[in-house]
Amino acid sequence: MAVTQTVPGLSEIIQRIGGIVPGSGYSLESIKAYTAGWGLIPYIPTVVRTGTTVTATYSENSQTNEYRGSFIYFQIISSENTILTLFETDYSYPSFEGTCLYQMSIAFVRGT
Amino acid sequence: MVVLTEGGLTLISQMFSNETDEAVAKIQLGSGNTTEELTSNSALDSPITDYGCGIATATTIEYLNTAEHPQSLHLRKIFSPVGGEITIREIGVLSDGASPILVMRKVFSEFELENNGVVPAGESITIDAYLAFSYTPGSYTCQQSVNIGSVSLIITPSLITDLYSAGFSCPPGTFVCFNGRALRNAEIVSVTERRGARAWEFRCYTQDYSDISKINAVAAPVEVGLSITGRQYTSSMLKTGTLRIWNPLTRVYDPYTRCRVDNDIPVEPFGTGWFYSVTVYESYYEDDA
Repeated sequence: MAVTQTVPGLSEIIQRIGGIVPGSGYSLESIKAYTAGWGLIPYIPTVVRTGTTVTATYSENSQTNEYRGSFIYFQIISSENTILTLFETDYSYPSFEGTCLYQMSIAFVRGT
Repeated sequence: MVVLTEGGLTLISQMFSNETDEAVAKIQLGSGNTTEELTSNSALDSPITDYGCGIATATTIEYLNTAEHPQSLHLRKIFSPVGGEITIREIGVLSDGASPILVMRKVFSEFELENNGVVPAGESITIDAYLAFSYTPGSYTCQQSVNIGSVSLIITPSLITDLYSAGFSCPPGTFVCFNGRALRNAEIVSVTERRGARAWEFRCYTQDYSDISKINAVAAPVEVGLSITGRQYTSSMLKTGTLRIWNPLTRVYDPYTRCRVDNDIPVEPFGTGWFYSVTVYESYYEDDA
């Protein structure tokens, strides 16, 4: 299983931090899980901040999940549906049966 | 050193867990000078509130992605004191909430800012603050049914000030001033011409001792020498400033930039005031950046 960790929406994140409003009603939503081909899945992960680290946790039951077979993405999505992808796993239908746990973190750290 | 405070780092992370709707948008000046601390700084030491220079929302808030400022948030605010001068030693960047959170703080040494950090009434200082963002992929592991990944968003603060000095004008009724500070009732005792630069000795008189204190605040020991090409240079802890001398022929002030005031200012009580002497040295060379 591979993963890419990119932040193509970094500019939008920066503008959010500065309160630059590109459109009415813009706001940054929580980190959400996303599946390719199915769009935004109804399973919104639990988002917890510990200090300066934000962690999104999401569980999927491969036996009961009707969206099985999809790739799993963890993304930040603005209210205008701008995708600020942070993680993209190429995970597809698990080779085992049971509950899969996805836990993705963003750590905010100081530069030098 | 500019520090990104713990409160600021926490605030930014809160934006991603939907715990706040505040933004990083305000700039504040201060006169305190205790060293910056990453974890304990939650406010400026001594915020300036006078002369219209209190905490204010930045007039420019923009996203930059240039060679000089890649992936950065830029905040700019110009402060122009009205009715009195301010002395800056610290600058903060804060959030725009009802109780602003200190995000960034920088303390300047006494000699780091132009004009010793003093911004006279009518002049202005421009503050440019930057938060640069980058990211590094962290780790990703998958064991059985557990997928754990992480990424780090790296935030680097920086801060630049520009005290506008070219416009330092002389107070009304004065013929000589240095960075807008009057050399009251000055007469030129001597002018020494050297290659590429001059030295002036002024004898002044005032009935307001604060005139002397104000000049003393921008004075420091000055080392004067000649370069290998025979041109005069000066060096000092303080940055150079602008000496202005009224020219009765052209009826304008002649500006002499790259000047320094020597800290030896003899004062002699006389009548209801004081005579005082001021020596100003001009340098042929610019200050180092």
